[in-house]
Amino acid sequence: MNEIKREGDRAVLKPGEDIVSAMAEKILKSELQELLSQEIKELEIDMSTVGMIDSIGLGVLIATHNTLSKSGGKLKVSHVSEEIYDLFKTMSLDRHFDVQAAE
Amino acid sequence: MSISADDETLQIFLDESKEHLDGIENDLLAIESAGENVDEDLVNKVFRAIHSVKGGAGFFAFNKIKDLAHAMENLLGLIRKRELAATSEIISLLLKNADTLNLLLNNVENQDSTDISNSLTALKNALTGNLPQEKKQSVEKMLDVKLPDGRTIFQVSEFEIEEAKRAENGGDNVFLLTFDLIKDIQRKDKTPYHIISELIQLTAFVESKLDLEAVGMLDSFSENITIPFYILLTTNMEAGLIEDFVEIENSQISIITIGSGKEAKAAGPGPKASQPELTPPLTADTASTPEPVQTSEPEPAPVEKNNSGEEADLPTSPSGAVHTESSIRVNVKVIDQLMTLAGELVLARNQLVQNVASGSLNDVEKVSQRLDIVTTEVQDAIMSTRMQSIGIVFGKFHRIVRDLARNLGKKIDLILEGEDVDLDKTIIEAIGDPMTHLVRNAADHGLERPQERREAGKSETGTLRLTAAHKAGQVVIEIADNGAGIDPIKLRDKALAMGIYTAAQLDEMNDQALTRLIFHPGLSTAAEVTDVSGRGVGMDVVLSNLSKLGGVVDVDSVKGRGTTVRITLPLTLAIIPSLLVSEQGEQFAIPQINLVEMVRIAARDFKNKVEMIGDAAVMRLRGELLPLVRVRDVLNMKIPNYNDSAAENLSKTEDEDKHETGRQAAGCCETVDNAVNIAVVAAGDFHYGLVVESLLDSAEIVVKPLGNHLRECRTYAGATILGDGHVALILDVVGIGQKIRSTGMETVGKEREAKRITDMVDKENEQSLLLVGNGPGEQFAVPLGLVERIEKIHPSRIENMGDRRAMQYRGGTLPLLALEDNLNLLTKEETETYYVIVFRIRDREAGLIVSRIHDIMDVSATVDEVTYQQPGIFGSLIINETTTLLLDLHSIAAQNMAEYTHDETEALVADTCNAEKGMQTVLVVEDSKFFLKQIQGFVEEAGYKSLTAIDGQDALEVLEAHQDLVDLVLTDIEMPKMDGFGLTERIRSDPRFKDLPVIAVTSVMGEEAEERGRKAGIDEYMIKLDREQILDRCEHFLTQGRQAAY
Repeated sequence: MNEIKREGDRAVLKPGEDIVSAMAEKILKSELQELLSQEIKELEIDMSTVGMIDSIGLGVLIATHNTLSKSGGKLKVSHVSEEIYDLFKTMSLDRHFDVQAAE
Repeated sequence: MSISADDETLQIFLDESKEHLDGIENDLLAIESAGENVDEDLVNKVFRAIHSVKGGAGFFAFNKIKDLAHAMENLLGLIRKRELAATSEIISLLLKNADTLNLLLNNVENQDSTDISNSLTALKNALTGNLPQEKKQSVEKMLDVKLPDGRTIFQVSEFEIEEAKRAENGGDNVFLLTFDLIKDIQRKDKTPYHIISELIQLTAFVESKLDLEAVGMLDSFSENITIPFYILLTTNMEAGLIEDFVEIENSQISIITIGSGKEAKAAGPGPKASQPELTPPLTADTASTPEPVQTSEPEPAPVEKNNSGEEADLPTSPSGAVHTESSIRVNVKVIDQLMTLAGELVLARNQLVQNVASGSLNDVEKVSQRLDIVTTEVQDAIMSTRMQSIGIVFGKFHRIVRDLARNLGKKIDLILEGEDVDLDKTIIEAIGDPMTHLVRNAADHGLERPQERREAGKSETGTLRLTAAHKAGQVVIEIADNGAGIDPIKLRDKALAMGIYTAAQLDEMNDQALTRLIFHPGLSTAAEVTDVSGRGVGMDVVLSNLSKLGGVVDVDSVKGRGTTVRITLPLTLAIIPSLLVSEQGEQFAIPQINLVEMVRIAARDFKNKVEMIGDAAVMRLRGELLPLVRVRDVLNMKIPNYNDSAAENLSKTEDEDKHETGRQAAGCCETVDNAVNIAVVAAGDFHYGLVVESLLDSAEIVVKPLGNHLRECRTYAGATILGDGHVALILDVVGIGQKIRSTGMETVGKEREAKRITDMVDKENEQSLLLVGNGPGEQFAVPLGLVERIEKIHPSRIENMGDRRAMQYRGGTLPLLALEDNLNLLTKEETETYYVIVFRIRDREAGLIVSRIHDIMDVSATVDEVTYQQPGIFGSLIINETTTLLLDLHSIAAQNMAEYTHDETEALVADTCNAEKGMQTVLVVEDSKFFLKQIQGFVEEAGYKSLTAIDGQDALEVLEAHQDLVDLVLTDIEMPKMDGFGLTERIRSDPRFKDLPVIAVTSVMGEEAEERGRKAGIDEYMIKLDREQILDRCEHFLTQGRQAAY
């Protein structure tokens, strides 16, 4: 299950599993959609439990970023595993939103 | 945006960009100096460099870098098309912005703090101000590249597109490439940056963008997402080629057509849905375009010298400093070589391990040899990865000197030599600052203003010459200017005023020592500290920085003529070849770089060679006095139960007899084997001898720094670990040298100077003699120059025919002479072997039989020509307290075989081969009878006629009397009445003799004398009495005439 913590206009979402196809699209997307409808300015996605992400997952993250940007919010992806971190780097996504590698 | 150091792609971009920018400074300067004759290749090169930076920066969203590079690129485009002259204002502008680019690249994380708006405005003004009217508009006219969904992905000016079309690699095809970040890039193991880099090589890249927006919002999210990455470019290639090249399908390439209303066409056969178009923005869009630059402002030369407050916006980067690189480029070959060597090393290790395990020690030896070889090769290979050419440092100075010259209102020519000399990377990095300082100093204080130069009778343009060269395993860098030079008097006054030295101390210093005062903290000859040099960092800092690198700095300066600063540096710092010595059971290393030679003095010679001057021991080494110190004294090594009082004497000898002290000095320095080992070392131009107990071996040592607590220790330069695991300290030769100098050795220096002068005079009469023995107790000398060979023979080989002797020799008969035959001398000692001294008389050989060969000695020939005067003897002299008769070989031969020489004389006339030679006459001018005879001797032997004169005056009279006869003059320099210079001057001023070749044969050496000789008109300066050489030159001038020398 995805864990969500809220604190004013900040929120931290911690996906419970890998962000791939079905899970990404259905569960995460709808949860994010719901979350963002509540005037969130800073959203952190804590990836500590995420070991894999596919193109749809990436799309969800980018869409989240786009949605947030439109309303002046910011996306931060934290505790990213080395593999995923490299992926973000390769695709230069880290130049568009904040990506923080796992310690 | 966070940038971490591990971001490889970014690092590549930064490295490449810096590399691009590194070269452009000098290229821009070259463009400036080319002026009207635009070198298109060069401009293209700079253009490409800036262009690549722009491309990368655009991708990384370094907008400031991108904008700046972009604006610079536009200007360069105009220069290339000759629409804009590369005036020095324009170049200055470009240079300044290149600096800014560098600054931004060095600090990509904090770009926001840098304000470049002024720079951009200046560049834009320069651009629009120099554009024809219709083009000005194109700069302002922004075109939108729109996607079918109406979103604008790029906004570019028409000007930019037009420029890109005409750029190198550009073309009329304007393409928009669409990549899918996941499918086309990530899955193919590429990165967007790599794709851009590739395309920049082939096409004129305009812009790129990663379009995250295309993914849409969460609520419109669909499963079939693409993350598009767009690249806009112009090219003359067909779409098909591009497809192949970047591995995309033709549907991903769209052709862009420019102009409103026109339909954009897709490249592929099947028109694609997402068809972008490039249209001028609608009026409604205009608000979103950047504020247009005011083109109405008529600005013909818009780049003003004092352009707003730009300087204040940007911290000026120290362009002279070589910034420390974190990565380095290495030739693939070297890497391959290292790989091979690593393999070798593993093999050797395996062998070693096996051999040790099996205990087969014989094989261990083999393995150790192998390891030795491989290690050396590995070392060389790794070193070569660190070697960089000094051109990297030198190259920076074009710009620095140019800017300095402009600021100071001086004209300076910079000449660089030896830019390909390689040095270790650490050294390259570290010498940047000191050299910049020296160059600044030379430009600021050294070279004068044009007017001052004109008044001093020099050309208005001063010359600053930087040279680098390999010299005996070291690199010598010279910074030479032909400016005003350093005035030693000024320095002296300043040093006195500042109380650094007392008047008495200063009086003792010669000009060179005074010149070296500039290295003293706080001293400068400049009337006032200027902005350019003397910014707190003085010459003392230069000196100490270079010393840290193991470098030595020397200054040569002639007032009014210029200054040369000479830096001697080791090639590398990590591993240095050294000499290992031992003292009191401890081992020490002396860096080879400081080692001049090694001298071993047998105990019995010690008193002749070592003297005491003041309270310092000095050694005579080839006529020079060399201060000696013992390592154990320098290091204060206490010797238990040391009862040799001589040691005490060495340090506190008073007015004792020199020889006595010498012997005592010998006593204290003696080692078990009764010989003294001296390592002659150089600390800059100061040479001294280190007396060591024993010399061990030469070895390559790895330098380990001393701990912090010993940092200030001037006796040790570091430590190393020897092969046997012992630690050896490395002696700091320069530091010890300073210690010696400060303890009164200066007096030695002065004595040495005086000695050199007397030596010079002495040398005038010095001659190499072969000392031989014949009868018991008798010693004879033969001038070595006359001796052809020495043969050792058995007495039985001598054939007696009547009263003549001869021997078979080299297929002929060699007439032999014996001293006792003609001279009133004792009979030859009966020995088992005789020696035959083979000499040449005319063009035949003859031999002189002697019983012993004693020695060869350089002797100051004060020949007594009276006491033992008889035919066959020049005279006598005292060598080693033995009276020695100087033999006149020619007259002995003449006496012994009168008809022999008689024949020769006739043969000379009769021999047609020699007829021509025989006609030629050499005038020999020499005041010493002994030398005169010798020179005359071999001149005649060579088949010339000779005339003699004993001084310049005499020579002129002889010339007058035989004016048509003399073909060449061989003259001494030092002579009574009129010396060689005077004589030559007189000869040159006489129209009859002005073409007469004049060769000076002397031992008054030194550049000054040679210079004087040249001025007087001497054609050749022969330093030593070298018969072969003199004859060679005689022949040369006699056949070729005077002009031949030039």
